Amino acid sequence: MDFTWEDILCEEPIDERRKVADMCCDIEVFRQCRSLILIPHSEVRVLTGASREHSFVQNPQAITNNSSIGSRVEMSLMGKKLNVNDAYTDEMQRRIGLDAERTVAFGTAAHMDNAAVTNLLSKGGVKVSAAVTGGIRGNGGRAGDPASFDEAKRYAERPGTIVILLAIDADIPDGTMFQAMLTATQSKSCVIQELMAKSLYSNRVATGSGTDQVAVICRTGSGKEITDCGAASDVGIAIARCVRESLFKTFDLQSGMDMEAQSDPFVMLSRFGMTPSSIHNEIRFPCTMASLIQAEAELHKDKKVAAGVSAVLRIADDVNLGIMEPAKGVEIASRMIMGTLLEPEDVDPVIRKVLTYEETVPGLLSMTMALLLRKRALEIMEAGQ
Amino acid sequence: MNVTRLGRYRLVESGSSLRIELGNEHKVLLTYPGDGEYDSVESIGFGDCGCDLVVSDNTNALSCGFSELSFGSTWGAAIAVADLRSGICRAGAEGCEGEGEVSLILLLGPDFSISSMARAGITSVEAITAVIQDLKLRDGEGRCGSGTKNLRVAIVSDKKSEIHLRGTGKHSKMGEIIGRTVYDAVMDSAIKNGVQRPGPVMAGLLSRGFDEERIRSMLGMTAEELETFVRKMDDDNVKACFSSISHLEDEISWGLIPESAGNEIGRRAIAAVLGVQPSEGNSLSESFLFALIEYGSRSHPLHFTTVCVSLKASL
Repeated sequence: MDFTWEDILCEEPIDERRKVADMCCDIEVFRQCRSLILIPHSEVRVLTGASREHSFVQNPQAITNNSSIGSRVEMSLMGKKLNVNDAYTDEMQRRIGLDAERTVAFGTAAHMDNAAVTNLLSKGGVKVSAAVTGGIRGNGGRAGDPASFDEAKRYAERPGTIVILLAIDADIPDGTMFQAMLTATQSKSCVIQELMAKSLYSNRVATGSGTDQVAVICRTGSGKEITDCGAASDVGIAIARCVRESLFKTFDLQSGMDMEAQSDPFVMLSRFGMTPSSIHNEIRFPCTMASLIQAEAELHKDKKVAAGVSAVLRIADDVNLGIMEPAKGVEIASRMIMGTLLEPEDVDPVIRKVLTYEETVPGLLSMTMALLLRKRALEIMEAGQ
Repeated sequence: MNVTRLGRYRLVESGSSLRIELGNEHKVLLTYPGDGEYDSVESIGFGDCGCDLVVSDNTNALSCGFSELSFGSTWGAAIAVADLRSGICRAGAEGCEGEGEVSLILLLGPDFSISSMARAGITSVEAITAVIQDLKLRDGEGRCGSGTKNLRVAIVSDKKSEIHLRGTGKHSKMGEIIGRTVYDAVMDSAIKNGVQRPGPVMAGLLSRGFDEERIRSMLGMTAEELETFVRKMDDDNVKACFSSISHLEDEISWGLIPESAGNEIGRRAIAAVLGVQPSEGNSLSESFLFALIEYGSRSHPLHFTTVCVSLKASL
């Protein structure tokens, strides 16, 4: 039976508003229901990149970041006119005691308990704060990747959004607020690069999620005017560091995505569509299931294998970029694999023959991982005898 | 004077200036030193163009890149001036040296609100970062770049368009158009203005902190002689090996790969690809450079001997 978002919202209990953090610009940060609420106690100006339409906003009552309820309710909104989404968001704000007309609202699938707030002081003495939520596993994308959401036709979009609410305790001209937004975005892309988080729409590393949003909040009348928030400026460096610290923290909280999780050879290979299951199908294993499971668990954590896979995948990236001929890339990758991941005795004549027909670097690595699994599982079985 | 068209817009190139005639009043969101929001702009451009809005006046002898795309009734185009020979920055890091710049004009066919135009800026800057990553450009301290010291972005929207949209993030078709056109225009301009794709290994080594003095002391060559030498043996083995070990060094510095595992695998990769056993105790880049000299003496003995003989003669 169909339901409406109104049916669901009216069942949602309203809990107490509780303070969870402070940010610069005299902003108090609260949690209530599914929302993270930023209440400024000074005059502020906001540039928003939210999907709700605004121009620059002077003195809003609140800036909020709001978790969605779940895919069933989201699907009841997808495909509807945009003003239906607006009505849903406005009602959510009203239910937690906010004036929807004076609230700048953002939305995400991330949970607000996983928000990370960071406060920093720039070398020049300007306070900067960032409240960030984000997940990228479900919606990582690289700028220019193929998109599926044709707004004119109202296709459904995939969940997964990074929301950055950035506050700078200074008077900032509007053009500089836009510049600060772009500096924050660069910092986000750096974090994603360092985690080597994949795009779900190509086999490249992501530069963001598909639906990222940023707000820049500055305190008007602070008496401290800043005109440069570019990446090389004092405040720009503080913005980037603030966003960086919050984003690493919230990725870990929201998605369990940290350096340890990402330095897993299977995670690295997933960028090219390879899964443990597809790797298992490369060969028939003369091993017990228990030994295979243990071998796979060990490989997930093997940093030398991760380093080898990463070094070889770099050749695949160069082939993708068109700066290495595919056949030459496969030939060099074969040698690199034999020098870093495999021993000559790991490759029997049948596999060697099969590999002579392999035309892609990821294809070589898929077979390599299967051979490593077999070798490790056999060692485990032998040790158990 | 060269007059062309981009979609329904007229472009006038003259000397070092570019003028885009928008035909009717457009809305613009422009970064500093611009004032942010403009409501009635009829012309925008670079250089001494006599436009309502000048995005950058620092375009002397720099070439523009252009790209346009459409999807159904949705159209967008990017016009960029990109000088990526210096001034590469990594957000959050000090060490941004030089005066390189990216100045971008993004033309959006539909009407958008300021918040959607801001989001178009987010998508645009991600595309600029993607170009810098793909060109493997680094800041003055050898870190992977994410932007430039001077970055100016103007988002232009036709407020009289019959189509009003909101989506400019990467998930939307408009966002895909933005990402692809900005990437192509910035890449096009950067290459026209002197960045090589792929960059030579020598340039990569220099960007990792191998300054001329250090090379001279290590190899007894001038940087020019070394560059000639390296360029002549800039083959696929060398390029692939350098690309992989450079990437491993980045991942070690980010904390993604432990130093011991990365260094061991990096040295084994050098040995496997170049056929030279690298020495212990050096950084991966240093190990690569020493291995490269031995690889060169094996792969190009005649050229190597010639360089050595000419060096000795010059000394």
